[in-house]
Amino acid sequence: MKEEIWMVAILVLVATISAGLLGFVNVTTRPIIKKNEVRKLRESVLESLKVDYTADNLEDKFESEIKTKKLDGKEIFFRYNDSGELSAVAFKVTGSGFQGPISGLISLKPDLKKIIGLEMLSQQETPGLGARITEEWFLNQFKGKEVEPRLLIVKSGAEEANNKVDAITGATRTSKAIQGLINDDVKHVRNDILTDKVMEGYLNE
Amino acid sequence: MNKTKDLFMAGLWEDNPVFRQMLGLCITLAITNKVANGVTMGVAVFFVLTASSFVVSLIGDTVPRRVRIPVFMLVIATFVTLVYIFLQAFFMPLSQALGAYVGLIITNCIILGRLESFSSENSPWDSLVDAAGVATGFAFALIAMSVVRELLGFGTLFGIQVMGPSWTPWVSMILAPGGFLVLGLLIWVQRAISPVEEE
Amino acid sequence: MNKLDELMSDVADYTKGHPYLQHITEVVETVRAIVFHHGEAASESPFLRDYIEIKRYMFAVVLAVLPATFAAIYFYGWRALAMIAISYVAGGIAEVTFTLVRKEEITEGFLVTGILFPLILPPSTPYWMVAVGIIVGVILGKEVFGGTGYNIFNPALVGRVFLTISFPVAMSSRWVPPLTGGWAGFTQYSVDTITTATPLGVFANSGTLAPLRELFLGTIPGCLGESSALLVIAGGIFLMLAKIVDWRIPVAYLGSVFLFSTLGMFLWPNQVAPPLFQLLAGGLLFGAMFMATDPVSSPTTKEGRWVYGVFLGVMTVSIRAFSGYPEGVQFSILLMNMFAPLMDEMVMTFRYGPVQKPYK
Repeated sequence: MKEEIWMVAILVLVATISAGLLGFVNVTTRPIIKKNEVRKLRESVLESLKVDYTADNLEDKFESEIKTKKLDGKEIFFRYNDSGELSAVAFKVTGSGFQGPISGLISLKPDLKKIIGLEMLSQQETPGLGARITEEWFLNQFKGKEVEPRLLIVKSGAEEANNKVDAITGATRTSKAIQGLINDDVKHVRNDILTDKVMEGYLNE
Repeated sequence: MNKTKDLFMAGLWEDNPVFRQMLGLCITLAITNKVANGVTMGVAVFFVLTASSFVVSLIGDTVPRRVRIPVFMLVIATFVTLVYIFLQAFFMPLSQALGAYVGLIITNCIILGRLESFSSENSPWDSLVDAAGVATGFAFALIAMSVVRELLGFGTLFGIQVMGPSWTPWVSMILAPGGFLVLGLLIWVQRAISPVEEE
Repeated sequence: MNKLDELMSDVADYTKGHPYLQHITEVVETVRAIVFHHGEAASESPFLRDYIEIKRYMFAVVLAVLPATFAAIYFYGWRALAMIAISYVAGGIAEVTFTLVRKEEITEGFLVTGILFPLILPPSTPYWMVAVGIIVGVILGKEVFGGTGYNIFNPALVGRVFLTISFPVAMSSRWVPPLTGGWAGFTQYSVDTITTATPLGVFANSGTLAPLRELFLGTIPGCLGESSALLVIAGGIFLMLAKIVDWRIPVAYLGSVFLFSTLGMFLWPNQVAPPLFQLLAGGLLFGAMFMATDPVSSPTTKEGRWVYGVFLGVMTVSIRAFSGYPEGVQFSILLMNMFAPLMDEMVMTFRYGPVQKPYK
């Protein structure tokens, strides 16, 4: 009986020390981790909107250039030009890739059809194949393409069109996943969140 | 002094956890396609293994045998979680690249194996040396594999082009088959240098 | 005496001393000597019914792929020959290094691997890739298992699959159209690279079928040696008549492809190509005649060979129809290589009862 109590006591003691230590570290680092995530998101927003920034003025630029609104639980970023007209809208697009979830950030013209830019936030695709979706050449292709009627990611060498982007050779599944998540999420935002009626309210600052 | 050196070298080479004991292979195969990943994982395991070895060697006698495994797991899990949070806070890109594998260090049998078979029965100093040797051996294996795989698979080392711009990447080296091939070949090399004694 | 042997002997007798045809005599006699090996006949019992050894097998196979090799040069220029030369040199160095280190005799086993390997590569494969592939094939496909005769897998296919997964772009999307008309490739070094697709690739993408006549003659893009069905079949029939390879494997393999693609065509008309197209397109014939019949990595019992061939066909049709790869011959043969010993053991167990273990 005495032995059992001793066992439990030791376990409880070790667990308490461990929990206390981890709790302390977690509390102290949480703001840093949170800040990292916010920073990464803001970088992507500015990057996809083709706004120039440096590591130092990132926060200022973001505050002055971008208006963030939470609509129906989705964060939407609006950018207005000097005369106060809406010039771009950006939001997250997410979906499942070949190996795990993929999330990116897309920015569009106010008509929600023409792409201004695309950035990847997180992905777990195969290094060297699917993971190449984070490379410049792939993302730059999206600039100026139309999501209407559907954005298509096709084998390179296919006929050029304003809604077609070259896929990554050897990573068909990842390419198809990107195609799906862009089309689905943009459609969802256009039909359910930023309907024409809602958009009217945001067209001018 | 000699004993310390022997203890360290055994973990590093003669009883190398990957090439000789075939432990921790899941992590080894999964993350060694880039040298940066290999180094980070090596450092993380070094920290977790030495720290938990040290702690276990201190409390080894006090812990009742029947609950030793849960206690060891708690100690390991604590240190792994520390590494996990630390990477997220200060090395964001690396923590994203290693993904779930840092968390999986908890189940790395190298660590539990050392705690169970060595640290719980030896002095803190010997445990530290042993842990450092094994962890260095693990890091050495990870780096050796990732150098081969990154060189052939990307033509780079630490992300810097070394094989020239016209290098054709060997895609298989980045994927799982390349991991198995390189592991097999390196085990071959290691055993050719110091052959296994037949019993 | 074998029918083919008899025929050759007749031809040699007929042409002997003929003013124009006497050169043929020498050629036929040489071939006959290699293939049927009349050199060492025992004069007293016991007699071997058929004398087969590694040297005879290897030379006969090389002889049988010669027509396909000429076709490769005709369609794709002298670069094809350069690829074969590189394969022999690079693979030869790997082979000799190992035999020297192990202090073993050099065997002829490599002669076949060295020519089969380049023939299953796309015509535009860079030279260094040929070298890498054959070295990987020899070392990982053969030497790590203990050398010629001990390998589980066909070494040429191990090299080919390594290249397929390592260099997907070079191995599956850079095909060049063959040269035709007049002397075609005999007067050129290489085909100027114009990217096209193989008939199987075209079918996988758009469902269009290439004309059977072109597939039969070989005027379609494909790997070096596999394009011309006609010459591959000729080589295969030669090997079967000379009893170098067992006819059961090719017949079972091709028959099973025919059967299952006919079946599949009705069940999944969009994915499964019609049987005749399947038989003539891609590397099926080349694989069935020269790769699946490799005596080391295929089953040795008759029943085992039937089963082996049938499974090969099922896998090839499935991979072609339902996977991301348009061609499935290389994967099918490698996968079935793995099961060959098991098949033999099952046949033996079925025939003679469970094998008695010598110790417990």
